[in-house]
Amino acid sequence: MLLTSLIAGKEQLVSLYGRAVAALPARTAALEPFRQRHAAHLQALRALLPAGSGTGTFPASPAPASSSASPSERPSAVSVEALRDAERRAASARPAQMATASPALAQLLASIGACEAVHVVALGRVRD
Amino acid sequence: MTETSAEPARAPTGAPVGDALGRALSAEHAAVYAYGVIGGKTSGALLRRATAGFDAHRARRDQLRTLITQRGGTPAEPGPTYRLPFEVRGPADAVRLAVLVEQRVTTAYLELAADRDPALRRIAALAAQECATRAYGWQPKIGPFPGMDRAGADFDVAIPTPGAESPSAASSGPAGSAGAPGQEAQPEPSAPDGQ
Repeated sequence: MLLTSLIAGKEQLVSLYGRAVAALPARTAALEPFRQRHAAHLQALRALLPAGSGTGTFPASPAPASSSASPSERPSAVSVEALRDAERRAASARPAQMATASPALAQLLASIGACEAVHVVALGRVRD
Repeated sequence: MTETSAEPARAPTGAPVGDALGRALSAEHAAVYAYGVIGGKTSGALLRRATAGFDAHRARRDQLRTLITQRGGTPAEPGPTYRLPFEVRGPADAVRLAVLVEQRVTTAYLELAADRDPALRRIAALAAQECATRAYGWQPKIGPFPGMDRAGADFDVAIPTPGAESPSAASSGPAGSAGAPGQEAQPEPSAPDGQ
């Protein structure tokens, strides 16, 4: 799994939270810490890019989500349950992504996956 | 599985299996012990949570033992007793200890997640997710990088207590264990009478 793909996936999660906050203003305070943790993950993943590749090699912000977002995740309607599904998918994909990763990336992905797994549970306490 | 290109050779005696695997087992041994204490100081829903944690760590401990044996290693036994970071006087202390235990074990699994063996990486990833989730169950706080938190890495939650009071007494008499595998504080089988 390419690091750039991992970064793109994390960018999608960050933007998904951005859309959820926009759709659920009453939940902004509850959801913002989740988004911030994903932003921290994104930063950590980007830090593993080779020095020369910088942020110019690929879009550093809002992912090209149009191609991969499922039809049910229209920009205007992101529910807490949709966030939960996304977190669940992200966490369960980490072990496979780690198989061929460098040791440092594998360790980082394990920690990120643990955070995402916690998010799945924690989002159960956030109602939309 | 043992070819090394960039890493130095492992300890010649006693540690043919990855050190991270052994350390994960040590962490699980300590977790099982700690959860025994936690269960003794809790009741009701907290006790049920403690029991679930105890069972989960015991299952992982057994799994790690099997993995070490399968790889030609000898799984370390738990210490006869462990020194906890603070006295567990009641439920609040028990919860605090449980959080620390889960953080500590998560850290151990993060190390295993960097192992060369993809099978071990997978197990480590899943176990780390379980530990972090349990920690959240005990205390609903979330950090962005579970297992990398300083609080969890700064000290051991449960240190095996050697039988003798002075560490030198334990280390000067390694009767049967020449080069204990990755166990700086290999507990002696004698009773902890050196208070």
